[in-house]
Amino acid sequence: MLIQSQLKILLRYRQILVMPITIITIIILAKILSLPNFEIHTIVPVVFFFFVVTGDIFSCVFDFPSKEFVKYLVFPIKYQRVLLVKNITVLIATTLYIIVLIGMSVILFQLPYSTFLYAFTYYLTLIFLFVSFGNMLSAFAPKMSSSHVTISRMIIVAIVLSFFSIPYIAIKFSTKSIWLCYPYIFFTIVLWRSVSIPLASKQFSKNIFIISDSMYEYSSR
Amino acid sequence: MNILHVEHLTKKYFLSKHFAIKNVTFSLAQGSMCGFLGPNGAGKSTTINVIAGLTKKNEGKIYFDNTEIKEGDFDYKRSIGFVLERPTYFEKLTVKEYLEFAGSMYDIDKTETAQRTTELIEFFDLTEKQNEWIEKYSAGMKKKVSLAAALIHRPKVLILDEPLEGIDPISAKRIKDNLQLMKQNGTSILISSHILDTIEKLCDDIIIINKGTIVFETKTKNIRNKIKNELTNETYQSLEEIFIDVVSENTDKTKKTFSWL
Repeated sequence: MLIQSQLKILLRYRQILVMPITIITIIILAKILSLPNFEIHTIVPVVFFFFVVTGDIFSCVFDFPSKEFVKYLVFPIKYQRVLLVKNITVLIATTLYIIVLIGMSVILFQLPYSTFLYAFTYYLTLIFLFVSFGNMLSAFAPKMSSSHVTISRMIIVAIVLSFFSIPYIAIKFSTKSIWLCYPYIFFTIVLWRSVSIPLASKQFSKNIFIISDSMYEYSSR
Repeated sequence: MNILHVEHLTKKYFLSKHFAIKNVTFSLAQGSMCGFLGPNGAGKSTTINVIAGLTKKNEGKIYFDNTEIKEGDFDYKRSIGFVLERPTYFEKLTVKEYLEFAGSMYDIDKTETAQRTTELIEFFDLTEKQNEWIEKYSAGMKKKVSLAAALIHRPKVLILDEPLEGIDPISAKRIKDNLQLMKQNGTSILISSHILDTIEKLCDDIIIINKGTIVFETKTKNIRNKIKNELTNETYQSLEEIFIDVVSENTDKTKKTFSWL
């Protein structure tokens, strides 16, 4: 019942479906409109970045159990059991999501496996850096405003992006590979982060990094 | 006989300079209703969260049914219904799903849970929105969900933190009537609220906490015409008078006005 209810709740988080739905919608639209020179591969990283980097997925998969699981403690249930359920839920959710991503990218977009693997590792590194950097800032400089955190995150993303992409673009420039869309991705991130409130990632930081003795103390111990 | 006894409960939050609660000692007698009052930040919710096992205490002991509750104990929660200040419902579930979940947590038989769920939904006037996720409910409706979940297992003790906050007058009346009924049937209730009139009418005992320490305790029947103000030597006429006197550092505090109005 515990896992069942956790999964039920998790699957009802809108964000979990946003990315796959967006990608599929874009593909369908592109196919219907029969866009000339439509390079499907270019759209994938953009959408990846658009949603993943903003922390929505992360907040959904990781923030959710931290916030939700403490609520079980009003019931007569062993703390360790709740913790186990929380971890299982995170594991299942993450695995499912990775499977969906791999499946969609490899099957739908027919990306070569090696390219995908590179891209995937790259995205993951970036997401990790992006989220953890923001969390570090929030943890060590709690008075830092959210806009400062956002700006700092963008700088980190830009640095990492450049580090990864410049040599790659230089090598692949003539082949018009998918990596050419980096500048586009970069500006998309900047634009997105500039206009959006980093609520999800802020919440994430709060739950994971700020150790308090409040109701959340059990979730962070 | 006391069903719940709290002894020298002390809690200091991480990095905080002050004690959230210090040496809090009180008892809840079986079949009685006790009003747990205090201004905002006085330590009411911390005390309740410590009893609920959501916040770790630094010192002190909690006894339920004469048995000490140790850290990590959870069996005692089978006999307690909690309505906490912070929401404890799952917003992505419907009220029906949540109550069924709560029922399963208390090991109540499925048929029985279904029956109680229907009754609770009807009682709290949630039938119309029973198929919507709790996140779409108003604050008052969410409070009702918490209350419903706290009642589903027929608890021996009810611990309610601001149970009537945001609840419409009709439902509030119904809840109050039912609390009285439950009390008559032997349920012990610890209720924290800022609605002093209600507390005075409902409760047998009153505890006032301020700045983490219990500053006043009495039987409700003693409130009017019996307790005297130490300074004026006049008897108090209401719980409100006592509350303000006990909690305010100086008597002019309540008379403060805005300079620009």
